[in-house]
Parts: sequence; C-alpha cells; structure tokens
Amino acid sequence: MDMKSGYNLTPEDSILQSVTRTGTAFYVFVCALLVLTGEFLYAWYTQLTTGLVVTGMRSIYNAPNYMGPYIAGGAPWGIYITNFIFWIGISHAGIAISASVRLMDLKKYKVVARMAEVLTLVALPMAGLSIVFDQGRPDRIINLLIYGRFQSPMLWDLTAITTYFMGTIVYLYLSLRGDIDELARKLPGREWFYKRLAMNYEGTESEKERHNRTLWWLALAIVPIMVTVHSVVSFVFGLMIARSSWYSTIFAIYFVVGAIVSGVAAVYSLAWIFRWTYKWESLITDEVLKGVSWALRNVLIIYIYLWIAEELTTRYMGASDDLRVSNYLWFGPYAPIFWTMAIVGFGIPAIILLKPIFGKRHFNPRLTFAASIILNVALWVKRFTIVVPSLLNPPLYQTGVYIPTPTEVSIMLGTFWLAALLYVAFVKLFPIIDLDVVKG
Amino acid sequence: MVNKSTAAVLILGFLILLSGLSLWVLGDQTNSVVSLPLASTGILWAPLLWICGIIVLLSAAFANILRAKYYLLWLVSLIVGYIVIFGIIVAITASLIP
Repeated sequence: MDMKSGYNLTPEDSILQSVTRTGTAFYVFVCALLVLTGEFLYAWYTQLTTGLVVTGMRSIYNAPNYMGPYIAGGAPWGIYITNFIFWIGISHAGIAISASVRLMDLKKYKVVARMAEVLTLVALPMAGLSIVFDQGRPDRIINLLIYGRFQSPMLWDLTAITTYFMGTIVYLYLSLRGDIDELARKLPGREWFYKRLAMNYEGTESEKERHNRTLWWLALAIVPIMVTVHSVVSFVFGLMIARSSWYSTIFAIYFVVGAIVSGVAAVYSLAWIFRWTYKWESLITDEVLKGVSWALRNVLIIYIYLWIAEELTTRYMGASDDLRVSNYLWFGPYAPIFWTMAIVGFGIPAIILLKPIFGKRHFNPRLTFAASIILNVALWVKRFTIVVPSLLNPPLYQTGVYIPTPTEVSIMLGTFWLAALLYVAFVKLFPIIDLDVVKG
Repeated sequence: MVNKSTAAVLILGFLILLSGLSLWVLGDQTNSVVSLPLASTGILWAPLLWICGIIVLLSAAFANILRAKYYLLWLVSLIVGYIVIFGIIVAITASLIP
C-alpha cells in the first residue's frame, strides 16, 4: 500500500511509532493517570477499612442521618453495578467487531480491529472489579468458585465473562503473534521480550494459513459468546420478579443492542483519537470512520426503538408497580438526569449520526467523535436509570433518593483510569494496528 | 479439518466441563444437606471444573499452532493465572478488612 503518514514515515514505521517513539505528552498523560489511580486506590482502601457505610448505598434503616432522612436511600447496587453493565457493554462490541471483520472479510475495517480487541481485554477486568467494589466482603469472592451453584445467575455471569475473557486472550494472541515476531527483529533492544512472547513463530506460509484458519473458527465462536454474555448480564435483572420494571422479556435483546451501541461508539472514539494523535489519516481514512459511524447509527436506531417499546408497554398498561418506577424516573428526583440523557445524550448524537443520510458532505469525523463520547456517557446514565430507580421503589414502599458519595465516585472513576493505563501500556508494547494492513 | 491434537484438547475440555456439570447435577439430586464432593473435600468442585473445562476448550485453538511445551505453558498460565487473580483479590482485601 502506498501511503505516508503525517511524519513522512513508511506505513509500517508509521504504525510502529506508537511503540518506538515516546514524547513528553505521553509521560504527562501517564503521570496524570497514575495520580488519579492513586486517588482511586486510596478511596478503595477507605471503603475496605471502613465498610460500605462510606457509600450512598447504605440502607435507610441504619444510615447516619447527617445527610437528612430523605437523602439516605437503599440502593445496594448503585453506581458500581451501573459501572459493571457499562464495562460489559464496552467490552462486547470490541471483539465482536473484530470477529465480524474477519468473518465477513471486511478488509477495510481491519485497521480498527485490534483497537477493538484490546478494548475488550481491558474492559472485562474493569467489569469484574466493579462487582468486587460492590461487595461488602470481597475477600469471600473465591466462594463463587468453590461453592457457586448453577441456579444462580451470578455463576452464569462468571461463566460467561470467563469464557469471553479467555476467548479474547487466545484470539488477540493469535492475531498478534506475527507482529510480535516482527517487533523482535525491528527492536533489538527488546528482542529478548518479543522473541519469548512470539514462542518460536516462523512466519511460514503454512503457519500463517493455520493462524488464519484458527482465527476464523474462533471468530465464529466469539460472536454467539458475545450475545450470550450480555444476555446473561440482563438475566441478573430480567429474571427478578421481586423488583418492579426489571422482570421483562425485552431485557436480553435490549442489553445486547445497548452493548453494541456502547462498544461501537467506543471503537469510533478510539479510532479517532489514534488518527488524531499519530496523524494516521491515510490509515484510518474518512471512509473507515464513516463506515463505523454508519454501523453506530443503525444500532442506535434499534436501541431507541427498543427503549420506546419498553416505555410504551409500561405506561400504556395503567396503574402498576412498573408505572410507579417509570413515573419516578420521568417526574421524580432523577427526572433532570433522565431527560438530559434522553434529549442531549441520545437525541443530539442521533441527529449528528443521521445527518450523512442527506449527503456525503454532512459526515463530520470530529463531530461524530463528539457524538460517540456523548453516547457513551448517556449509556452509562441509562444503565444507572435501569439499576437505581427499581431498587429505590420496591413493591411495598419507596426508600428515598440514592446519591453516590465522593468515595464511591472515586472508586467508580478508578476503573476508567486503570483501563486507560492498561490500554496505554498495550499501545507502548504492541502495534495497535495490525501490520498486515500495510503489508497487503 | 480439525487436526488430531486440536480434537484431543477439545474432547478433553468438553469432558472436564461435563464432569463439572455432572457433579453439580448429582450433588443437587441427592437429598443430603451437603453434596458428597463438598462433604468429603470441602469444595463443591462443580464450578471450578466447569470453568477449567471452558479454559481448556478455548485453548484448543493453540493446540494446532504452538509446540507442545509452549502450549502447555499457555494452558497452565491461563488456568493458574485465572485462579491467582482471585487469590490476589482475596489476600489483599482480607488483610485490609477489619
């Protein structure tokens, strides 16, 4: 492929500059992330040593009254489980995009495939950590492996996430192995590391063919796993008859589509950030970004449709516990968040993404990047509006309003800093674009 | 076509997974308060075997690609690494929780 980057490098060197070149901005960015991670660790330490009383999730019955009786609410899953669903969502489309690129032979999008794979690998542990944060006794988490029972959706979750995580590691390694071997030759200073990691890769045609064949089969297995995992996450809610507005047949598909919106938006954001940082306009072309935004637009329309269907079903049937939760959301204390999310979080990105229908010149990569970020923030809030209002409105009474404490917010945000650190570490060690893209 | 080593690992993974499932079904069918594996070893074994089965099944992708020693290294790393993550969380949090 005849392409030059903004730094006038060969295409291959252009891709490898993320590994070989380290500027001041990188160190500043990493230092900022380390400071923020330190703050997160301190917050988690505080929660571990003091207990969940430092969170806003504490029960109304034993809550300290300094915030007023109205504020003390019992939402035992709060923002940690909101965060769990969010990260699971982000992770899902990641490898699924990569698998789809391989299965449907969408060569044009191979340039974003690895970004998506790494996103999955980074996001899944963050989802797992969010569960750990929510536990009053995380030292007992091992009991899930020792005494877990198959009737529990929690064990289904563990199984599904483990399967997805292991599948991702295997898939990523296989797709990366050739590049690792290439790095061993290109970077003599780090040869010992890459050589060992490549595990005797020879790069013969038959070996490459074996890799591709295995990756194809893995890709085929990963797509249904992806659907299963988010369906299982939805069952944690959808099978609970005791909580108003959760017990619903629409939840599985609703969660899966939400995950795809979230993941595709995140992949678009990353692709744009990398293109901007490393001047990869000739690699991540407008055409590629437009294709990803096209996929994002379509899944967003399906998601909004499902959302409307859910709201209509709840509100049309008249007086019910589900309607009470819906009213609480529409007109209650969370109404400002709910309507901002609906109008700004979903409405504006939908308009931005729909605009290119009226002509090619309407596609603006920068504006679409803003839409992808807004969408992911909105999807985080959407998960909050699924988790919290139902917990605050059990069938017999209403418990109050849940407001997360600063400690809780620090811990929740910590997953973002950790994820960014892990992602940056990967980018510094391995090429974030498959070298085969420029080799042809 | 799936080659012999891949097929062998796939079958092994499937058998481990199945034994985990069987232990759970058998343990659940009995009327005793505590299932036999739990009573005799203190561990239910079903979920652990189930998870290990899944890891072995997925690692079958390597069987056709890596040399035997590297393949075993990967397999052991995946299983041990997975359990170690739980161990680290338990160790750190147990030391901090009063």
